[in-house]
Amino acid sequence: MIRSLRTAALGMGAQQLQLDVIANNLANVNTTGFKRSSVEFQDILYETIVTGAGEGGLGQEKPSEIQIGHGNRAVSTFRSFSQGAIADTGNSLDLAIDGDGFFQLLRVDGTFAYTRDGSFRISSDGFIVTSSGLRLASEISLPPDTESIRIGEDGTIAVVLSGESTPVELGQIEMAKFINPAGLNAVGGNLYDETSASGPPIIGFASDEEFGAVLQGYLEKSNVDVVQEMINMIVAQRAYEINSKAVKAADEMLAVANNIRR
Amino acid sequence: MDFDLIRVARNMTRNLFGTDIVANNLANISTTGFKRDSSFTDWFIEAVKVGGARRYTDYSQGELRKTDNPYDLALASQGFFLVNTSSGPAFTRNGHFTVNDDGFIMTGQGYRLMGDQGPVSILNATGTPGKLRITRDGEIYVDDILLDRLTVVNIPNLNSLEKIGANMFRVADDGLVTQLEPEQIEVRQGMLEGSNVQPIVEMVNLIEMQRNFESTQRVARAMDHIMGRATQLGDYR
Repeated sequence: MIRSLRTAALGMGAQQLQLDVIANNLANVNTTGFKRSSVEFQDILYETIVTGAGEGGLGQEKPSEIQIGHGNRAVSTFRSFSQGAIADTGNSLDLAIDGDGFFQLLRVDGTFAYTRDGSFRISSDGFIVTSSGLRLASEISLPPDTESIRIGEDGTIAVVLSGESTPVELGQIEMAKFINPAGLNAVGGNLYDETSASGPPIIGFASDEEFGAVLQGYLEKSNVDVVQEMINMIVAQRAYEINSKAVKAADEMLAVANNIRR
Repeated sequence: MDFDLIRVARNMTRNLFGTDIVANNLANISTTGFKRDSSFTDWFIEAVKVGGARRYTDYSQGELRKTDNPYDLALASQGFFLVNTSSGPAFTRNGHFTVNDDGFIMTGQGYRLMGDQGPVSILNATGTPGKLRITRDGEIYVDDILLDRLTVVNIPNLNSLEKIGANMFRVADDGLVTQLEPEQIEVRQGMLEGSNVQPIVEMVNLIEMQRNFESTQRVARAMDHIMGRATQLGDYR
């Protein structure tokens, strides 16, 4: 009896987790480059109550034993790296990746972080940095007298200096991609860290084979589908409710059992 | 006294077990590829006199939902995916796979998905991860080059299957495992098979077991009452 109480409680806990993930997706519906997550569940260990060996009471062999499960648990949250919508911003340092790949950023401590959020700025010393101040790993610095900046679909950065008319090429933005992007560790601030699950980054340039193109003047929106999330929310809430009914039934049956003897 | 209180108690215990099974089905209402176990009421009447019990797992198809993740696979036909665990082969209908850093396709627990020629990998001829495409009959293409065929197995006697948790099944020692032919299977890439638990069925079973439990309890109380009277027969004055 205690078993079904606990099983149903696990079921409710799982739906709570589901709701937490949905809430986070919805909270980030307007976050640039955000990738939605979903939870995957699996059933857990089964307890064998009566073994399959031996015969049933009518002399026939029992086909199988009684197995009772103990509920479920979350196995992983899965991040979907499907393409988000691309929105025009007109800002020359807003970059969107149309296709696979991440921008590679350099932290102060020398480690790398990866992002799809391409809203870049120029730091006081001329480097291209994210809105939180992390430099692009390609470490391209713009001369102080830069008049305009042009970034090609392959990530080539060219600038026009003041008083000149021909652009000067400064370098090319490096991109990274992973065998298993779902294995990346989200560390907040739209940044991801590589893990043993994601595999080491594969470095390349935009528009190369298997890498997406860099679009200047655009930003990638989140890939959260509000309608889908709302439907998931309804399903999670109802599943929560029905598991609570199992708790109630188990409770009532316990009360009945306690009342066998008046 | 010919009251069979033991039998009454056994009946109540069975209903408790049955609730455990329903609770497990309900807890797994969102578990990919989960197959519901039938509750005890299905065999209650025939089994009430015998000590034996029967487990029955319902292997009917769960509904398919679209995910657009290339590593999500669903079976719209009979059969199971074959994965290689540390303790031998296991079968699953949960097609939510990921890729590890060696390029092999694996389950959430890290068990590799098997094709006819070994573990399925997404590495192309140059050793870099390629674009995976799996056709309906299970042919595995990486960058449009046919590399392998997905192994989809059939277990003719579904009663020989045993749930081992993590959405996986194992077959008992003498259980027969055969491989399905391409025309017998239907693999859908970018989709997942949901749990086949139907809330209404489970609720009805739950109510039925709860009420059965209650009425058996009344029988037990009535027996107790009558026996109580019987033991007072000698106290006449």
